[in-house]
Amino acid sequence: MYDVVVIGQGLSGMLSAIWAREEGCRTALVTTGAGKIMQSTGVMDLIPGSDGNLNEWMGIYHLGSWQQSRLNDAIRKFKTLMNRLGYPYKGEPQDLIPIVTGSGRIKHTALYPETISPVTEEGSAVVVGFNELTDFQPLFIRKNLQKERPLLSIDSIRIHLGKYSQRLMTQLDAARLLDQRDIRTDCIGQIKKQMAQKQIGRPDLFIFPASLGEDEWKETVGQFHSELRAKVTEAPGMPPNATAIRLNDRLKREAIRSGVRFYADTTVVGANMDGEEIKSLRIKTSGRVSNLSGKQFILATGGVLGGGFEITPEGIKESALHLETDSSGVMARLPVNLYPVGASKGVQMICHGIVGGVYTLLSTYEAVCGLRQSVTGGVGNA
Amino acid sequence: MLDPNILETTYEKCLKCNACVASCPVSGVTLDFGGPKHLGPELKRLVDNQQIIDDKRIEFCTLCGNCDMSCPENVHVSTLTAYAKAIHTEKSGFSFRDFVLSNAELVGKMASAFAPVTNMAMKMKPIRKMMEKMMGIPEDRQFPNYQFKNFNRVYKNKTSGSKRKVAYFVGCYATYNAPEVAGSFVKVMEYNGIEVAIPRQKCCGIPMLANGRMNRAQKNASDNIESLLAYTRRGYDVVATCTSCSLALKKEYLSINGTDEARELAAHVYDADEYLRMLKEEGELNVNLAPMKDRAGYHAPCHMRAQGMGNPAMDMLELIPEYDVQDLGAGCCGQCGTFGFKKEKYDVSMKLGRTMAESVKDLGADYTVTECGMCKNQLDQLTDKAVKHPIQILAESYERAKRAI
Repeated sequence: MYDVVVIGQGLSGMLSAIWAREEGCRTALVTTGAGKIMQSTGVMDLIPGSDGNLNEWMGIYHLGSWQQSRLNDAIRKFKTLMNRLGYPYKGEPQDLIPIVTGSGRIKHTALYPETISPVTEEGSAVVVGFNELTDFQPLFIRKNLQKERPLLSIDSIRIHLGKYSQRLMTQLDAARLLDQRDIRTDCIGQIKKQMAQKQIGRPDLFIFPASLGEDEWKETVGQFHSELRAKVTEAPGMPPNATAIRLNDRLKREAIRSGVRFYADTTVVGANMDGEEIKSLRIKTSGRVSNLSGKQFILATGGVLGGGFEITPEGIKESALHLETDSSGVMARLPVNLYPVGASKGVQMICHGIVGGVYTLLSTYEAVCGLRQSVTGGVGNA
Repeated sequence: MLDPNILETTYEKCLKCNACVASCPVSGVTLDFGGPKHLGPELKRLVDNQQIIDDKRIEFCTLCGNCDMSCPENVHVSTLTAYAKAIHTEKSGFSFRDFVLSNAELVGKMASAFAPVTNMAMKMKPIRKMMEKMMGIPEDRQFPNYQFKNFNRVYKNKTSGSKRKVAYFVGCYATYNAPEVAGSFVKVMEYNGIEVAIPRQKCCGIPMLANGRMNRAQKNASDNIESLLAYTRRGYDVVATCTSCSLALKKEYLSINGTDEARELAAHVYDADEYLRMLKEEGELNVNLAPMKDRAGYHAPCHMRAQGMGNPAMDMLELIPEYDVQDLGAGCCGQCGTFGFKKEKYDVSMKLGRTMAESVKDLGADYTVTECGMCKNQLDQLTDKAVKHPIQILAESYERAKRAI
């Protein structure tokens, strides 16, 4: 019934579905729930948990040099899409930039949204926290950051959003409040006042939680930047980060509007095989189990953290289609019309726990190229 | 006493990841709501084997099910919040207004019996002012019209001995407010040579659940299960044109009734477009659809999306030659059943509806299509476009094809 059925709603799942639609494929996306993109930072590292460069990355992920041009194509395609969706990404994998996280640590990243700015070695910075946000502590961030940036002069202040909440406020709640101009203006006033009281000079950079607006991020960042007369950056920390939610929501809306059919709250419990080919998926909703047929399938269920693999005493199990895998999670006999992307390709892709956005972009791009080839030229899955 | 222990899945898998809070439409526009995580799995964890807690903050939950759709761990958050609502109602009672709003069927019967009068009264300012004051129903909120010639008055069961037979779960909305939707469904089935029977039925129970009247919802559930099983066991498929009704029969009855019979029924229930799409896949659909040069925007109701069936209305509308339909992708409409009729929720309802209204305006289509009568109510109030049910479009296309012969 569908040309392409994507399993999973993370970054790789949604990008696969959007790009498959761009190829003119009738596309469905089956998902138990939101993907791990919801818990991400929205920032795309090369090697999560490590600052290694492009060569090291190519080595770890066993990539050939011919894939480097594909990587560039994949990143270009992603950036074009995000430009169109009104949430542009910057950065290059050849040139990692240091950014500050919600714990005050520095990490080097490849791709990042326009709400994030690099942290310099020297100069001055002010960390701004909100009283209502318990999981972003400016003093803690300042002290951690100071260890990594000894030459940077850092101050920290706390202001309040001035809104009472019936639930524990998250960075996303703060972002939605900062979408409102009067709240932003009030916050800027408080920052200026406190800086004057504490005799803090105008810094080079203001560090905020990942809360600088949701829909109105451009206006929010713009107003903070122009009225505080310094660069501003978001420091992504405890989810939900606005940096990630903006990415998630825009990709999802694009997928829906472009005609991807979402099978939400639906779990893939197996596959019906026809020789080397998957004929249909067995999908389970609360009332029943049914079949969902397609010509090609993209497995974007993530790794161990995403729920795509389970580590059991008997070895690694692939949890959606129940396909046999070797000790590293690589499928022993990959069905000819199945394309695993991102962490679904096996656990060697998730050396530091998560696969990371840049590899996801590359593998998704390759999978979609694979779809195209097998449609037009009958070339099998590489 | 209410027993939330009959759930198929457990809350224990909740990792507190906040995906439900980030996806909750109500949490997105107000900080007054306690949120699906806090009032679902966390509240359940807190009160397990302890004294039950009545948490007032649950009142803002609309039971839209976006939390269920977002949970990566398959926790059925909305079942937990439905119980939290029930506990709140049991402990704190409910107002006359909520009693009225949750009785869609009774109100439908009465309002349609005096239809021209009730419709007029609902548009009269002094009456609406009084209703706001005495009942907490906001003056500016538009109500759907009631039809004197309700569907129960006009439809008589027929038998044609067709291979497939449909037991039509009409639902309160199509019965009392939009008999033209029910009429279109019967027509579409006729064009496909399928017999339609109207089984004895009660309100599906969703408005009761949403107002914390769990016991009444459970009572309606068991009555409907009994009545509908008598049909499915004779080879009928149960089909609904309202996506909240089909969600109730497919999903909610499993968690509020939980019997083998509920499970047996759920396997035979279809949304109307889902049913037609299945006919198409089986090669049984009458595809003699006349071209329609309309341009439409489609609004997906939350309870449609929660059924995990893709987008059957779009699939069916795309079969009509030259028909141009675009998914608005706008999320929750903000009417949320009875929620949007309440004074203290009116602001939230209007804020929620803004994104949808803007998408309708941006698209600039001829009219909007949606399955849900409540979404239609909000669309009627917030946009200047007409709103149609997909089955009405299909019926018209079939009719034009017939006229062309």
